[in-house]
Amino acid sequence: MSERLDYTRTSPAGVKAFGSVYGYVMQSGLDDVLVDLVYLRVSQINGCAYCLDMHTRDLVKKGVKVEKLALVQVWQEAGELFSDRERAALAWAETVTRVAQTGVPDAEFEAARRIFNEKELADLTMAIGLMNAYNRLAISFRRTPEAVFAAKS
Amino acid sequence: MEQRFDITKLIPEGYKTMYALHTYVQGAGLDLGLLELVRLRVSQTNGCGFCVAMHIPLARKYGITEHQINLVATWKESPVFSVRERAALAWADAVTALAGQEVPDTVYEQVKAEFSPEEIANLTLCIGEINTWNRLMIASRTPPAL
Repeated sequence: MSERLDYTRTSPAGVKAFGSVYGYVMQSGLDDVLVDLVYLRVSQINGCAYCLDMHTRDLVKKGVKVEKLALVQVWQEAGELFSDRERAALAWAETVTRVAQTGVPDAEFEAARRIFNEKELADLTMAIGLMNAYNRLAISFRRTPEAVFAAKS
Repeated sequence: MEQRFDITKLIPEGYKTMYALHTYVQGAGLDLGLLELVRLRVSQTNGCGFCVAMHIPLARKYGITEHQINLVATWKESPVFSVRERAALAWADAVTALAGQEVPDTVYEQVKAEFSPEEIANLTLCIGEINTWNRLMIASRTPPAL
């Protein structure tokens, strides 16, 4: 599984433009652990190794325990390990990521709106949309996870 | 069908960064008709009414024919697309669907035969971008501007 092409080299300005969207989400006021949990869950659904590696590391750096990280994929069955806000964000991330199957139904929207205000929900949706794009870039070009380089050195 | 929220009003700064990304893709050197064809196809796959309604007239504007617009939903079985367009559409389908959580080598070989590495990268940025817009517009239930 070697990298197909390095899009950061062929399209640096495009990658920078994506970076501005990422930068916007970072300063949007949403809790950064919450956003990273969402990035992790979206990357699990899409199957992005590079992104799982990156966002797992980011969450570890932010103090999230391995016991919690291990259960992100099955958060619905993890009881109160995840807060109400985290659960609502993860549910929204799932339905918006699987948009072709779900169409993002009203029940999901109403559940998310009970927890998040309009602006928060708009920002969260931006984060989910962005990660769906980043996942597609890394998967399409088989970007190598940092862990692979670390294991070699 | 009532709009749930309006990202242009709620998060204008976020919208601006997405629009800047769009401006980059438009200026990346790829044929604008081809980009519209890809955006239309991805929007069909994801089921975005707002985006389909937007990209049909844009495709027309940039030289995509009525036959091509009508048949892009069934492009594999339609003889109205060039080899290059077929390669781009196959790539757009694979990158959007992520079936089996990957983008197969056969599709990559197909796109590599028709596009330079820089073009493939930019085409994929376009596919990523429209996947983001589709999610924003579907989640916010933004109605088509008719």
